[in-house]
Formats: sequence, C-alpha cells, structure tokens
Amino acid sequence: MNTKQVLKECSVFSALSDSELDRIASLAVEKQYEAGTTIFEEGDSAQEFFVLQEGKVALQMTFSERQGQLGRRITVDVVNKNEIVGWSAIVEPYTYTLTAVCLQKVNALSIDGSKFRRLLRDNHHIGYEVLKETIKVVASRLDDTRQVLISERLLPVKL
Amino acid sequence: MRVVLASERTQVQNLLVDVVEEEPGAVVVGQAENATKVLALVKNLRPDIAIIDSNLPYSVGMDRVALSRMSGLDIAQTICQTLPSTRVIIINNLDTQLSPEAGLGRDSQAFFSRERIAGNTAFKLQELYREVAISETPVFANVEVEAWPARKQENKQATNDAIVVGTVSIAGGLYLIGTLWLAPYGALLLLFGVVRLVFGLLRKLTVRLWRR
Repeated sequence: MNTKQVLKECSVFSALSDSELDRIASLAVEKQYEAGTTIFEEGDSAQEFFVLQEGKVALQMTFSERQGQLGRRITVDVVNKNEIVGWSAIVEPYTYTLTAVCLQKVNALSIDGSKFRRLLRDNHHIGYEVLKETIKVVASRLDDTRQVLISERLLPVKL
Repeated sequence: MRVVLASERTQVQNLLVDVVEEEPGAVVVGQAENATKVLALVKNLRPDIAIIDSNLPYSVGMDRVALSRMSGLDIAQTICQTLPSTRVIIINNLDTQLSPEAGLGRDSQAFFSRERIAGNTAFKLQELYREVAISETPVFANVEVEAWPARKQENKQATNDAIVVGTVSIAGGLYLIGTLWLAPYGALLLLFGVVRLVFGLLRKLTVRLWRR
C-alpha cells in the first residue's frame, strides 16, 4: 500500500485532498519494529509522529517508586492499525507523555515532527483538519485512561 | 522445566497447557486468570518460565470495560524486573487469532513462534530457556495453530483402520477356532488380525515418538 493510501485510511488525514496528502506523504518514511521494541519513552523529545500500518502498540505510563510500592509501568491504551501514535510531536511542549511499546511486529509511517509542524503552520487548511482530528484522538485517549482508572485502582505490589 | 500460565479464558489456558506439555520435561505447575494471581504464583512457585496472555485483566475481569484487560504486558515487565530468574513469554495473538472455542483439535497442532521483521520463527521452550539468559525484558511471541498436513491425516486414518481391522479379525478368528470345524480358517484369520494390530500399534508408537 502506498504512503498516500495509508494516510487516507487514517481518520486524522481523511478530510484532506490528494494534493494535501501528497505534501504530508513527502515527509513520511516507512519504519518497522519488532515485537517488544520501545518506539519512544515518556519524557523523550517528540521528534516523530507515527501512523500505524500494521500491528499493535501499548501506551504505558510510568509510576515511580513510592511509599514501598514498586515503580512500574501501567498500560493505559492500546493503539491499532490506522491509528496515530506520538501526537506530542505536533503539540507543545513537544515531549512524549507516554511510553510506546510494540506488542506485535509493527509497520508504521514516521512523519518528521519539525517539518510536519512547519507544514501545519504554513497551510491553515491542513493545520485545522489535522489538529481537529488529533484533538479527538487525545480526548478519546483521555477517556480510555479514565476508564482504566475507574475499572482498576492501582493496587500495591510488594515482593 | 516448570511453567506458570496466565490467561483469563479457560479454553486458552487449556490450549497453552497442550502446547507446553507437548515438550518433554515441561510441566505446568500453576495457572492464573488475572495479573494479581499470576504474580503471586510466580512469587511463590518460582517457575522457570511464565507464559502470559497480553490480554489479561489486572484483578477481576470487568466485562463492560474492554480496556480493563491490558495488564499482560505490565505484569510481564514487573516479573522480569523483580524476579529475573523467571523467563517471561508474553503471547499477543490469543485474542485475535484464536476463537474463544479454540483448542488443540485432533487434526491440528499448536506451537510457539516469534515475530521477526525477517519472518516468523517457531521455537521450543527448551531452546528459548537455553538461549535467553536471565532477562529483564519479556519475550514477545505468538501461538500458531495449524492443521496437520493431509498426508499425516491419511497416515493417521490408515493406522486407526489397521487397529480396528486387526481387532475385528482377531475376534473373528477366535470365534472360528471355537467352532472347531473351521479352526484352520480361524487360525489364519487370527494370524492376519495379530499382524494388522501389531502393524497399527507400531505405527502409532513411531508417530508419537517422532512428534516428540
């Protein structure tokens, strides 16, 4: 599947025209990761915006060691095919807020963060559509995180 | 090699038991249906390997909240971090590739495989145990179920037929011998039955040894 088609199937880019998709596709490169690979860590500088073509990625939040509880990571969401990972690359302060770990072999389009930001700033239609859809993703992830918090309180793990 | 398993679904646990116990020397010493329980089992039993379904609830499954089943990876990382002598295998495809009713059928076999960029590779627990030294990260793997090749199924059918024909022939031969006047024919039928039965049983034994 070509890059433009992959972008078209992702909800964040679905409202864009062919010529606009071409401009984004020119910033993207295809990347592959084996299961278990950490794509980025919480707190890293957000240099890439990813669109998943294949595979599953777990988004984890790190709880530091405190009050005798073990420091560990908690999965707050799982991202599937045609969804985005790394929206922090286009939202200030451009720092990843979660850690992304590949649960399966992943094929993804990686879009250069700084060039993508420049494109969004220079082309208002692309900027509006992409940010509008990205906000939906962020809101949905927040809702997912709330569900996890409600359904499973963090229980102490002592070993 | 002592193994602890964790999956919310009993059918998946049964499938994993089948796959593990196909290997000589591997024995399942504990099974858990949630992350809290598997952590307690690993802590108490100190198994060599823990096999964990990635789609695992933390404590009790909350059916209305799909996202509550995301603790497989978290607990696998916790075990690696705190009990590094236990190798942890996290299985990713049990929710999508296997139906809830899946099990190791008579005409299929299941095995572990690792997803690599270059392609998937099947592996045995023994190999993994030897390869992977004390590990701080889980091994990501899949369980694949494949049908026995048609030729193997035909061989299996032929073996079963031989056993049935052999048994019936022996019974028939003994009956004819009992009638006395047809005893010579009965002896021949008995001999034929014994040969068929021995052939069928030997073939079954060979297949079983070969699979190991």
